[in-house]
Amino acid sequence: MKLVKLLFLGLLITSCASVNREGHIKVTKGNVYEACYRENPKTILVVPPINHTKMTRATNALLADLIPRIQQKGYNVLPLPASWKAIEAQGLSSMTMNHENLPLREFYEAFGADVVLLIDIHEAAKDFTSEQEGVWAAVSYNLVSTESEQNLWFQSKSIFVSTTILTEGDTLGDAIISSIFSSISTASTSQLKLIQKINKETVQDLPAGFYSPKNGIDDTEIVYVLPEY
Amino acid sequence: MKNRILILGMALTLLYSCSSTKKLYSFPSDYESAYYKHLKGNSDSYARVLQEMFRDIRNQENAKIPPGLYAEYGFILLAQGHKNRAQIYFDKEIQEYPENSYFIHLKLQQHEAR
Repeated sequence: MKLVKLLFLGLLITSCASVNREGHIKVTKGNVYEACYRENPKTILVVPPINHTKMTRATNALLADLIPRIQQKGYNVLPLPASWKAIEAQGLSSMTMNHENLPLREFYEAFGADVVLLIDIHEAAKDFTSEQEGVWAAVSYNLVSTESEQNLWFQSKSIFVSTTILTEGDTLGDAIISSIFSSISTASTSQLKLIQKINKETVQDLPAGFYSPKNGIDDTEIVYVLPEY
Repeated sequence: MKNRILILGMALTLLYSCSSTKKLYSFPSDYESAYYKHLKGNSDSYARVLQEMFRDIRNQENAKIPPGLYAEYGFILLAQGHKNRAQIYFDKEIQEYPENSYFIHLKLQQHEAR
């Protein structure tokens, strides 16, 4: 009987609880993304991501997984690739190439974007030196206000995924991924799993958007951020 | 008996605390793969998926199409030269999400200037 009670108590405490990630501090979304709650952006323009890696398909695979997640979070994402063609037609391509000196005022006035989303894929290489073969990737996401030019939300993820584990186990995960991305035959499963993992973790930390029923009331949710943020 | 109630309680707690909240929109299972192809420049399967979404939404109470998707379909039609049909979807987009009127007008201006 005591054991059952103990189990019940343990379950209450630990069920689905967030695990403190090493090196990160525990804060509320409201504290760390105060400007995002204040501005409450509705419409996102995704500036063409910068991919510093050799994984040329990573950008589109990342976006194909990320954009529906952001929409589910309650944000209005301007259509892709129509937005990129519009940027090009406006003669703004060179200004968006390195994500510096962005024409934020024009994005606000002509595109109707409240924020721009900047994505950088920093590194991703096969690591044969470790015991298990795997993939490294570091992706940063940055939401910048087109009105105040303030940085409203920032995330950086770096994850190592073992391809050995992926090929030998976790068959359910692989089955889910292959059903979702069944037609991306040229992109490896390990890449997709990595991308999905990064995007899922990232979007969890994003404040609920304008169209979400949780908009403005999820500021007490706990997130883990790097101390310097 | 008490044990059974406690076990039931545990099961319900686990189910409640781990259950995912209701999703805002309903994306079909082949959405991401079609969207991936669309991003790479082939919009055929994406156009079909969007058409299915628009059709299915009619039978679902309180269901909504995410912002931008009517416009997406309109841009695909516009690129195929179906300007009048495209306008129907642009109007739907603006009716549901007025904030997207800026972007649609910009795209139409650019299309006319070509």
